[in-house]
Amino acid sequence: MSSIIETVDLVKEYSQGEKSLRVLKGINMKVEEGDFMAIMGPSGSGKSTLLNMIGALDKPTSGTVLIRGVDISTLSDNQLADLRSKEIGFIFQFFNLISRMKALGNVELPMVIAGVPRRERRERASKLLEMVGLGERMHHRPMELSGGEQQRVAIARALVNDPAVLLCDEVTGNLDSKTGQDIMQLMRNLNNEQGKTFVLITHDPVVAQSTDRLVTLHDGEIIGEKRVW
Amino acid sequence: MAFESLSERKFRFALNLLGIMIGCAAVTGLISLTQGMNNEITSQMGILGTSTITVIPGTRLSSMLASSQEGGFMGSSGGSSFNPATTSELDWRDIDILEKMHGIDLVVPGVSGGQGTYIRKGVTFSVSVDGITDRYFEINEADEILEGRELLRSDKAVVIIGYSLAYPFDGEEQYLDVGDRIKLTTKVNKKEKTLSLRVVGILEESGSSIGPGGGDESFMIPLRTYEQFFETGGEYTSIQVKAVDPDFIDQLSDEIEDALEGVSVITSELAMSMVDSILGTVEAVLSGIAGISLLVAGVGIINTMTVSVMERTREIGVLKAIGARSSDVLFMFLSEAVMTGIAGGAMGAVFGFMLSTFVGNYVGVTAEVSLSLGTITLLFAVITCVISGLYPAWRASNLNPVEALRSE
Ligand SMILES: Nc1ncnc2c1ncn2[C@@H]1O[C@H](COP(=O)(O)OP(=O)(O)OP(=O)(O)O)[C@@H](O)[C@H]1O
Ligand SMILES: [Mg+2]
Repeated sequence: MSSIIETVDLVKEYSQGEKSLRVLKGINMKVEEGDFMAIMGPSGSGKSTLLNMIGALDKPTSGTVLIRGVDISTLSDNQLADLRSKEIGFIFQFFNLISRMKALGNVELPMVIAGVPRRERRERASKLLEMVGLGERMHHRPMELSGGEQQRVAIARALVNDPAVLLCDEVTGNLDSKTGQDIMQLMRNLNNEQGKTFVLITHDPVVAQSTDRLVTLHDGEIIGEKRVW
Repeated sequence: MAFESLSERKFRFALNLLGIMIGCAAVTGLISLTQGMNNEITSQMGILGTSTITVIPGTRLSSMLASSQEGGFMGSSGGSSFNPATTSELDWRDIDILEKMHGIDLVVPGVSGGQGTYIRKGVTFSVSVDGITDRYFEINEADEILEGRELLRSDKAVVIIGYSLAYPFDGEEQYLDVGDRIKLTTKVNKKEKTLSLRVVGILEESGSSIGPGGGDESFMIPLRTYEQFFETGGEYTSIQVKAVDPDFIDQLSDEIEDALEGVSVITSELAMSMVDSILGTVEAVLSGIAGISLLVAGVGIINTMTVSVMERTREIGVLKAIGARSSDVLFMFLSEAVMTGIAGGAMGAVFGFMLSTFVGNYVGVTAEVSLSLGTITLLFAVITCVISGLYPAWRASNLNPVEALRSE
């Protein structure tokens, strides 16, 4: 299997006035196509920073991020945006849905950005909402939905442009354990049935145990990597 | 909470809309009203006719006109500094001179400024009185007789009345008819005087209450009768001259000004240019006021959009995370501004036209409601909104997505 994402000596620093804060200290990591992997680590260890980096949302201070073999530092801002639009789906802890749009509208949004025609948008969005179990809730606004339902909308939104990789930042962190398990099951099915690649950040050892591969981050460095099975 | 911020945003949008709307309504309303006024005055000036020259006493007007046309009267010859600007008056000697000049068809003296009252069917009417000659209607072609006849050379105690005096209360009932007799009362040199007059003619409605001897609420009596009654001492307030050839009217007016010292000469062209310059100033001032109100609305939009960008920082982060380009975000915010501009501009233009029509009705001016003015207003509103929205939208589009997502 070929690496879909690869980082080489990835360093990220934040400058805070005089001194600079080194958040990632040379990360070498590979995400293979079809992976279902977790990144764990204490708060502030740089997990979200790493995820943003491999999702082409942020630029490294030094080192390289290769997405499908392409060094993203060679891409323009517009090319990066297009890459995020087509190859990557982000799912966040706090769902980050647009509150004034209905579920359907939220799921359609990435397709609006990608320039998909209206009729196809409608069709794909409703199909995906049905798939995540929200066929009855398409016309509800986020505030009319439970946390679990909102996260399902967010998953549908992340999937709608058929990306290869889904990057999930503590997607179950804001849900109770039963709902969290359902969401995990949904993602696992997507991985099994559609071959979607998942990178999950989590604090929850139970979640981590249900993945195939676990990377442990500490203070900006990878301190452990193991196959869960 | 989300609901609250939603309705709050709607409220702010409505406020923006209102701001733009008021600005546009002011622009449209004021401009359409001044244009209507311009039309009105222009059409009234047209009554003067292109071959008519009006001579009035005093050089003040002509020097004013000359200075406004030539850019200051400092440049004119030094000899004119002793011009008796106020003294000379118009009388029979001037008529004599004019009648001997070449290129003149007709010379018609007139007196105006008289005031008087009469009682009819228990109602007291006050009127302005003009003294005219039998040739008056030859030169003032716009004044037409509705009923009765024009003046005759032999007429003495007769009167031609304005339309509103015959039908004073919206034409409900005729108060004065041809053949009726009335007693005109006035005070001349502090003594009460009465003049008995017989109505021989009624003028057609002219639409104005003022005008050179042709207002809807005035009396026109024979010049001699006027002179005796008001004790004018043979002075005229104006002399109208009809040129044989309208093409030489400028030359002729120069000659008249030279021949009769201390007079001003008005041609319809000159009067029009003066009116134009006055109305131009009025329009500029009004547009300025309207412009300021649009400016204020623009500042309001900058403010609201800046707040909106701040509020939606996280949303902008999300948009970028799901693949929006900076230009998409810019476009999104700008299109909101354009929407505000279109809605506010259109509503403002309509509202402005309604307002100017209403006010125009009230003051007796037909406001000019034109598609082009409406379009310009709309365009102006959109441009204002886009300019105001440009900076906030640009800021939104340049937000770092990671920072934006971290924000609360
Ligand atoms: N824009 C920034 N400017 C300065 N410091 C930053 C910035 N973004 C992140 N950091 C710092 O980088 C470190 C890593 O942050 P990051 O969000 O990646 O941690 P994390 O592992 O995701 O933590 P958590 O589990 O709490 O989400 C933190 O110390 C944080 O304060
Ligand atoms: Mg984090």
